Formats: sequence, C-alpha cells, structure tokens
Amino acid sequence: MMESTGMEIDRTEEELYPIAILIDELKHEDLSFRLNAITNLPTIALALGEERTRSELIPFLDESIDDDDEILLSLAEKLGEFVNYIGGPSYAHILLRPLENLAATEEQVVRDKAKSINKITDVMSEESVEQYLIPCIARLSQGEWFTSRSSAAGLYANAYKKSSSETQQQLLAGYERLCEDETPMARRAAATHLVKLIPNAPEYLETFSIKCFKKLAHDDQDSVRLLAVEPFIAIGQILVEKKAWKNLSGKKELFGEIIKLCQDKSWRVKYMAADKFIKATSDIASFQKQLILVAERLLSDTEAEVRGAACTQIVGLLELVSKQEDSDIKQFLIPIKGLADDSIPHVRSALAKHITGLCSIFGRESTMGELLPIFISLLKDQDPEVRLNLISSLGKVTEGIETISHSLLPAIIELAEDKQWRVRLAIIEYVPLLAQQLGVDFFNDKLVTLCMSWLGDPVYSVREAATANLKKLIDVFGIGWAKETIIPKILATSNHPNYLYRMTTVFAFKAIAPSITAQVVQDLILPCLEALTNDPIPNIRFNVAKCMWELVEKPKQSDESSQIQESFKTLLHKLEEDLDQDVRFFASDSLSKIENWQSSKNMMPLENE
Amino acid sequence: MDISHSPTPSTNEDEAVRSTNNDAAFSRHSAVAAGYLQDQFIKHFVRNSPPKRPPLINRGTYCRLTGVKSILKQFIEKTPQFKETQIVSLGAGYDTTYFVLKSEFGLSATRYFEIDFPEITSTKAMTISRKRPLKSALLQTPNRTLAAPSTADSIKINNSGLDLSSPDYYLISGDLRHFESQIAPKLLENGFKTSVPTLFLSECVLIYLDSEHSNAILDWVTANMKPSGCFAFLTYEQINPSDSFGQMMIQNLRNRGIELKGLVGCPTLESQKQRYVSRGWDHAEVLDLDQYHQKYVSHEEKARLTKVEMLDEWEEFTLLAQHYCFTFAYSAQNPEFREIISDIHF
Amino acid sequence: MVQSDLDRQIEQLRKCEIIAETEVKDLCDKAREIFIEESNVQRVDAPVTICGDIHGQFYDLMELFSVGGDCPDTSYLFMGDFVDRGFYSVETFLLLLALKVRYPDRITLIRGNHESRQITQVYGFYDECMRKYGSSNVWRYCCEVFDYLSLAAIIDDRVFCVHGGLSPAITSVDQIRTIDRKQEVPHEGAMCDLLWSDPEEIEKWGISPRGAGYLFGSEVTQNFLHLNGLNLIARAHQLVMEGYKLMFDNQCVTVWSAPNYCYRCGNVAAILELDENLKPSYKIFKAAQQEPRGMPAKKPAPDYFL
Repeated sequence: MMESTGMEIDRTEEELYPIAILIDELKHEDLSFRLNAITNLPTIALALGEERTRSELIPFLDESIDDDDEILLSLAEKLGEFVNYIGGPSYAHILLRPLENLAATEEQVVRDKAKSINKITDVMSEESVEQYLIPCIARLSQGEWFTSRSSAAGLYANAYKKSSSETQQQLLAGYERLCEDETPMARRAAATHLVKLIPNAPEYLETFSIKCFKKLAHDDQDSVRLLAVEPFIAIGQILVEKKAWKNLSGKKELFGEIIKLCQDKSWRVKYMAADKFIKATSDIASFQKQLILVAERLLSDTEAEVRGAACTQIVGLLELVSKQEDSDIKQFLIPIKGLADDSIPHVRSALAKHITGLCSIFGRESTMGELLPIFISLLKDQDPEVRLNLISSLGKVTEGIETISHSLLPAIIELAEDKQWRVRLAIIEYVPLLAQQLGVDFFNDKLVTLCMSWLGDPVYSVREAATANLKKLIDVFGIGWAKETIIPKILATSNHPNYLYRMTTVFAFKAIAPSITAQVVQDLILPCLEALTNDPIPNIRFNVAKCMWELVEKPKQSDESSQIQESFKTLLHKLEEDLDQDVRFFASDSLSKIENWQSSKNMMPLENE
Repeated sequence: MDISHSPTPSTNEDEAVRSTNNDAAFSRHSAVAAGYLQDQFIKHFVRNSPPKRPPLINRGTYCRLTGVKSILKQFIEKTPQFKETQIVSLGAGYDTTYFVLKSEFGLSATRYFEIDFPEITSTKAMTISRKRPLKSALLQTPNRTLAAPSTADSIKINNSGLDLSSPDYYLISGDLRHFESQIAPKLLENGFKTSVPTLFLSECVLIYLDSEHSNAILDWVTANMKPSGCFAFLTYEQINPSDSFGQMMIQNLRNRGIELKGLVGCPTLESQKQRYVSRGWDHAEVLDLDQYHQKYVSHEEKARLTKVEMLDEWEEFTLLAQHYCFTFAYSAQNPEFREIISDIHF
Repeated sequence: MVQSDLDRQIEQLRKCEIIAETEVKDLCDKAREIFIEESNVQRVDAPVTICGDIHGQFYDLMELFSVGGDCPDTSYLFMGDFVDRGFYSVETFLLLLALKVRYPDRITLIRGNHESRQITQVYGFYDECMRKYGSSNVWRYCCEVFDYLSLAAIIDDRVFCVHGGLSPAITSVDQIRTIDRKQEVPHEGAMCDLLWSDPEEIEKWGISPRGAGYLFGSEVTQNFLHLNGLNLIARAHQLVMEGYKLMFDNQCVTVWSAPNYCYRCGNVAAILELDENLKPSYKIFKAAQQEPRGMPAKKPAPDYFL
C-alpha cells in the first residue's frame, strides 16, 4: 500500500496531506466522497509528481478497485487521460494494468470506458506495444469471463496498426477465435469491432475478413448474424477501392451470403441486411442487380413489420429501381396491390401515406390506369387512419383527382363524423386543399354544410380548426362567396344557448379577420358584436373586446375603417366599466392597442395608401 | 432506407426480454430496501443506484415474492418426506430466491437449478464468484445429506464462464425455446434426476415464449418426470389481455420491444389451469394477485405493510393485480407422494 | 408581479418548461394572497367546466384544454390532485397556479389529498422538485400554497364540488366553513374526510380501505343534498375507467381527468361542462398521443411486474 512504499523520511506534512486525504476519501463510506477523490486524481498526481504517481498512486488505485460502478466508471475515464501525469508516452504502459482490470468488470459502461486503452495505444511506441499491450490483449482474450474477452475485441484494431507483421498474424488468429467464442456476448463484440479491423488488414481480406464474416453470418444466434452485415459492407468497400471485385474468386458465394441474410429466418436480421444492403447499393455498383430482387421481396415479406417499413420507403425504393437499366417498374404493381389489401392495418396505413408519391415515378398513364384504383380502394378502407393518410397526401396526386372525387366525398363525410375528435380535426385541415382541387361548385354542393357543422362540434379544438378552415376557404373562393354563404351562418351561431358555442362566433370573426374587408365588418359583424357586448357571460364579453382589436388591425382597410374604429372604441369604453376584472382588462388592452395603432397611422399617413 | 421508426433490429427481441430481468431485480431490491421483505442478497445484483419503485409496485412485488416463497418453502419442508427434491427455476434471471431459501432453510436435500440466457447466467455466475457473501452462502453445508455430484464442496465455473455449479446449486445457460434439445441434456449433465420429486418454477417466463415452445416444456416435463413420482409447476405471469388495462399493458411492453407471446394461448385464470388439467395432471389451482393479496396476506401483515408505506391507489392496485396470476399444479404418480404434496397450498 | 412577466411565465409553462426558482417563490406568494381571501367552500358561478385528478400528466392536461377550451376563455374548476404520479407535476401545478394568479375569476382550484407534504414525499412530487430544481425549495413553496387551497366549492348554490366526499362529522355546508383549513391535511376528522372519502353502494357510512376518510352511501348523500338545498355532488379521487361515473340516482358523480392514468391504466378521462343553466355535458378524452419533440425523449416506461 501507498503508506509503506518509498516513504522518504523528510517528507513534510504539507506533502503528505493530499495523499492522506485521498486515501481517506477513497475509503470513505459515502460514495460522493470516493467519487470526489477520483475526480481530483489529476490534482493529486500533480502534487505527487510523475515518479510517485507511477510508483505509488497507480498501483494503489489498481489494488483498491472499488465496488461501485460509478467510481469505476469515473476511474476508467480519468486513467485514459493520465499519460501526462505519469511522465508521458514512454510510461504509458503503466496505465494498462488498472485498465485491464476495469475492462473485465461486470458493468458494460465501465468496460466501454476502459477501452480508453486505445487512446493509450495511440501514444505508445511500437516496442512497448509489443512488450506490454499485446500480452495484455492476449490475457483479456483468454480471460475466464466473457467480459474480458468482449473488451479484448475492441482493442485489436488499434494494436494491429502498431504491430510487427508477425504479431499481426497472431492478432488475426486471436480475433478469429473471438469470432467463435463460446459466449454470444463475446462473438457480438467481435462482430461489432470487426468493422474497424477490416480496413487495417486489407491484405488479409480473403484469409481473414471474409472468413470471419462468414463465421458470423452463420452464427446460430440472430443477434450475432445481425452484426455480420456491417463487416460485409466494409469488405465490399475495400473490394471497390482495390478494384478487386472482378478477380475475387468467391464473389458469387459472397453475394450468396448477403442474399441469405436478406432472407434470414429472423426478421430483424433480414431487415437489417436489406436496409444496409440498399444503402450500400448506391455506392457499390456491383450490388445493384441484386437490389430489385431484395426490394421485391421486402414488399411482400412474411413479416408485417418489414412490409410496413418497406411501405414507408416505397418511393425511394422504386426511384432507385426505376433508374436501373432494363428494369420494369410495373412488376411492382402486384406487390403494391397486395399491400393495399394487407391484413395488418398499419401496413395499409403506411402504404396510404406514401403511395401518392409514386405518381411522378409511374407517369400519367399508369397513374390513371393502375394507381388510382388502388387509391380508391384505400379511400374505402375500414380503418379511418388509412383513409386519412391517403387524403392527407392527395396533394401529391398530379393527375386525375377529379376521377376519384366521387369516392372522396363519402370518405370525407365519414371521417368528418368519426367519433375520434383527432380524426375530425385532421380531415378539416385537408379541406382547403381539396376545395382548391375540386372547385367551388362541387364545394357549395357537398361540403359547405359539413364545414359549418364543425363550428358546433362538442370539442373545442375542432371548433377552433373549423374557424381557421373558414378563413382558408375565403382565401380560395373569395369575399363575395363568403358574404353569401358562410358569414350569415356564423352570425346565426351567436344565439346559441351555451356560451362555449357563442364563443365560436367570436373566434370565427377573429379567424376570418385577415381575409375580409372593413366593409364586411361594418355591415355584417359590428351589429352582432355589439349585441354580444351585453352577453351575460363575462368570458364572451372579454373575447369580444379582444376580437375588436383584431377586426381593426387585420381586415383590408377602406373608407369604413375609421368609422368602425370609433364604434369599437365606444363599445370598449363601455366594457372598461364592466363588473368583471378580466373584461375590464381586455377592453383597456384592446382600446390602447387601437389608439396606438391609430396614432402610428396618423404619423405615417402615406404608408398604407 | 430509414428504419428508425420501426422497432430497431439492433435491440433485438431477446435483449428486451432479458432486460425484464433487471426490472425484476430492481423491483425486488426496491421492496427490500423499503422494508417490505428481507433479502440480504439482492443488493449484489443491482448496480448503479437502483430506482425506487412506487408503493403500488412494491406492494405487488411483495405479493409476488411471498406467494412464490410460500409454495417453495412448503415444498422444501416436505423434502424429508420425499427424501430428496429438486427445484428448477426457468428464466431465473438474478432471482435471489435460492440464496434466501438456503440461508433460511438450509436446503439440506434439495438441488436447485436455474436456467437462463447465457447473457444472464454468465453475469450472475461472475457476480456470485466475485461477491464473498454470495459465495459463502452457496457453500454453507448444514447437515448435508446430498452426496455432492462429483466434486468436493466448491464452486465450479463451466463453459467459458457461462455456467456455474456448486454442491446444490446449478446455473445453466441455454435457450428455453430449445428445451428438449438444449436444456434437458444440460440439466441431466449437471446431476438433475428425473427420478426425484421436482418443482418447476417460472416467474414471467413462459409468457414470453410462443405457445409452441412453452407447451414443449410442459410436454417434456409431463412425459419425462413420471419416474419422480411427483412433480409440480408454479407459475406467476400476466393474464387478462383484452380489457383496456390489458391492452395498454401489451402496448407499453411492446414499446419496450417485449411481446407477451404466451398471453394469446393462456389469457385467463381458467386457461392457466387447463394447461395442466389438459395434460392429465392431478391438481391445478389458480388465483390472481389481487385475490392473493385479499386472502393470503393476513390482517396484521397488511397493517404492517401500510406502516412500511401507505398505499393510496387501491383502484389501480386492484386493476394491476388482476392482471397477474399464480398457478400451482402437480402430477403425482406415487400415492404416498400425492398425499404429501396435496398439503401444499397458497 | 408584473402582468407581462406572468404572461411570459404562463407561455413558458404551457410549453412544459419550468420557470426559475425565484419566479416560483413570487408566484406562490401571490397565489397565497389570493387563496387566503377564498372561503373554505368557494362560491363559483356557472358556466364552468369541472375537472378531476390530473396527477402531473401535463400533456394530458393540454389535451383537456384542447377538448374543453383554453383558460381563461373557458372557466374551470379543478378538484385537486394536481401533482404526484405523472412526470410533470411541477409544470402542471405551476401552470394551474399561474393561471389562477392571472385570472382568479376564471379558474378555481380546490385541494386534493395529494396536495399534502406527507403524500407528495411518497408519490413523486417531492422527488420531481429535487430532480428539476436541485433543492426542496420549490416543493416547500408549493406545499405552503397547498395549505391555503379551498376544501370545496359550490356552483350557483346547487352543485357541491369536493375532492373526496362527505364526512360523518359534517351535516351542513356551513360546518365546513368553520374548519381552520390552513394546515397539513390531518389524518382524521372532517377536513381529512372531505379529501379522502369515497361513495359506495351502501346506505350510510362504511370503513374506507384507504385508511383515511370514509365510505359514504346513498342515504347520507341524499340527506346532505336535501339539507343544503343542493342537486349534485361532483367529486374526483377515484379512477373510473370510463372517465366519469354517476351514482345514487345521479346525485353524485365522480369525474376523473387523467387519461391512461400513470401511463398504464388504459382508461379514458372526462370533464364535466356545466352551462349557464347548469345543464351538464360530459366530454370524454384520451391520452395525448405523443410528447412533442424536444422534450426529454426517454420517459421511463410505466412499471409492471416483469
């Protein structure tokens, strides 16, 4: 222990102090004291000097390995940055011993941190790598527990770079053994870190990398096979760089392996393989012919998870395919039709959300002939989410929207009456878009009543969305249309016996304010608002006050504007005397906003001409 | 392709199931730390300041653990009458029941087998061999009547650290989906005998298996354990998937990547019972955790628990507890043994 | 406190962001000044929307406002249990408190059994304050406010609102008015019962399994209503899977406003809208779909026995 080693007789009290404290703290019952001691290690090392840090502190830390993971974690972290406190790179190997112990602990996060051995490797000389690191890796690789063997796997790639070719051979042999370790945990670690080792050993591609990949790809644990995909991509990249694909003797076999993974019995392996494979195809030309095969299989996979995920990527997938020479995109129509009839709702739902994006890839004729019938079947789906998803993506339909309008209407009406208010809310948001696509006649005929009924919805958010919807419709169909059709209907709601619905009247005025003219305010809205200033419920009165400011500021100004302002001010003055404090507050607030606005207008008379 | 919105393939399904082991250990630790029960061993299996569970979960954990323990205790107490017994804990995880039983009852003629994924057994084996209190609990030899299998009283680490064996405790790695081909041979290798009365224990384990695989385990037991003259099964697992609480439970667990695959085939108390009755077992009794709490936690004990932690959320407790159940079933070929085991109840 | 500061704090809290500790202190001081003026049985005018337990389920409270309308446009009465169990007790309670300070006539808050020092230390609010502020100060400020919350409310002299229910020690509403409420919730007595009792299909009184409060039956309910000229008791306190539950010939209703309670129970929630003529309509809502981006992505999953 530290107290007994290398004590010098003339050491002063002051020098002893930090070490004594450290030892006390490191042994303290309270975790926070021990943690604090570890955090202060650099300070203590500085106080001790490099030599005593090497000869006393490091061995002390190694011997007194704590039980608590938090301490170990912090220690592993600190030791990784300790090279400078022990005298620089030539002594770096001294840190290996404690880190080696940490690399074998039960807790994964501690082991991960102990891989800071790699940082130390980077500054070590080649001699000391051979002398200290290689034996350390060997010990870990043959450790009793999977923990040390798993940790070992992460150390090979860096050590390899600094080793003699003879040692390199040994390292590769050691790594190969890790790939067939008895425990799946060590094999997973080997698979994970293989990706880093492969580029370091390009000359052993066939004798090492491909060999290891195959071992992993044939593992009986799907969690290991899953991790074989990345090394495959790494191998592919090296082959591309070396332009060695053509000459590779086992090329066919290698492709066979990845295609096999794409058809693995575990859907996760299958999915991961297909995913990485498709990503890699854009880089690696030699893969591309396999792509169509894989893509087609994904869309008609036996696992719903895979089909659903494939649906979300269908546009990108078919885009890639359509760029291939002599590929026929129409061969995908059969699996797509299958997906539209899928027994799992979330698969259909995913398809409905993305399928309209295919219009541009298929072109007018195929869209009209092949895709639109699929859209119509999705519009009639039993699941509201499927219908909603299709309607929400109709904006991407460039051709033939009128052909499906007869199917659209029943779908919209049914969604508009859905018992889930989120569904009703969602459909409202798409109405302006549809209005634009379908035209005013169709709209007046079929949809106006629906839009107005939303103003009386039992759910506040739906009513609110309904008011915003009205504004957007005025923008589409014009103010003349508004005066005739919707404003009279809004005015009628102001007599509702329940204040929450009279509130909607006020909110509707507020919402449409930017899209109407001062004349409309004067002629139609003012009388209604004036009546509502006498509403028995204060909540209505203060919202009327708030609304008045909006109706001054937002509408297009005209001759009537100043008259409206004066009428509103009179009403607001009256509301300032209200019994309710919130009414008084919002009346004054609107009043001062209007007055400020008026004076700024007067100062800059030219601005709004 | 972007896979981020689908269950990530990298956190695989088995990993999610294994993670339930930590949940169970944390819950046990929480209940122990709060004072619901005693267990001096669990602290060695939870690391990094384990979370405190709410009173509701602690109370449920208490019921689960005392329910299981009460059956095991009775079984162990009958051991002299049986001469020798075995307990096989399927998917044992970091369960400390063996250590608790050993320290309280000695287990002089009982062999205890635990089976789980290699990820779990290896960490458990490592923890046991590194923590002195666990190690010495394992090597206690109170009036041993069991002949040690082959070695002296010592702890052996096998299979590159995946398995562990001691005179009466065996930790065996494997995949329960391959019970007949993988697990059964390893059990036999480790001194398990089909001729000794045996209790199989499964706490939230069969539920994660497809019915095909859990049935295979029960079929194996039914077919192979007859020479013992008496074998029993104790399970604790989820039921009632179809009400809205059950639906939410399924959804929440699915978000963690956990599928309760066994729930389809065994959704009710009755179907839990039928598992055994349909295989011709002599007796099967079921009760949900709420019934257990009402009937088998004594008035005094309830008063004590309320002092440990006040439980306010009775509606929720009832709801939660009605979605878990115990099943205890046995099949006894030897009439003498049948007499003995028919004494065991919750 | 300046109004614009308060408006900013409300905006911040609506986004589920906490406000500074000093702001919490000011807010709580101001809230106490308002509550101290309120009676034990606060008078409330219809129309008003009545809500039950929230329990820190902030995003579900936003869902509640989506269905019922925003405060102050819609007037609200919350019948306690704002905190504990959910992940956002701090944000939930402070938002309601800030709305109370800003619009005292538009929102009424009465006390639930979880608005207590003892209970919040077990059921999460204390830990949450420690986690979010690093000290117990905010918890302490809030607990001081709890002591000032009204015990009950009466809407238009007809609807009696209370968190738990009736007490055998209380026959008239006036008796409640005589309680000295400014204290921690006691373990027994009238004040405790109001916050802890549950209705039960019996006639008179029963022992509560909760260990506090009583079970009250149909006859005592009818007597209480009759004696005090009331039509309805609205209360919260108990999870009801359907969101609300009428009992005793529609004389007592339980309103529960925490959907998928504890992110686990799978229940729907309800609010009760009383219009200007006290005409009731129940609005049912489900749990908020997802938490918006930018929020702590990984909320702990609800506990099960695994």
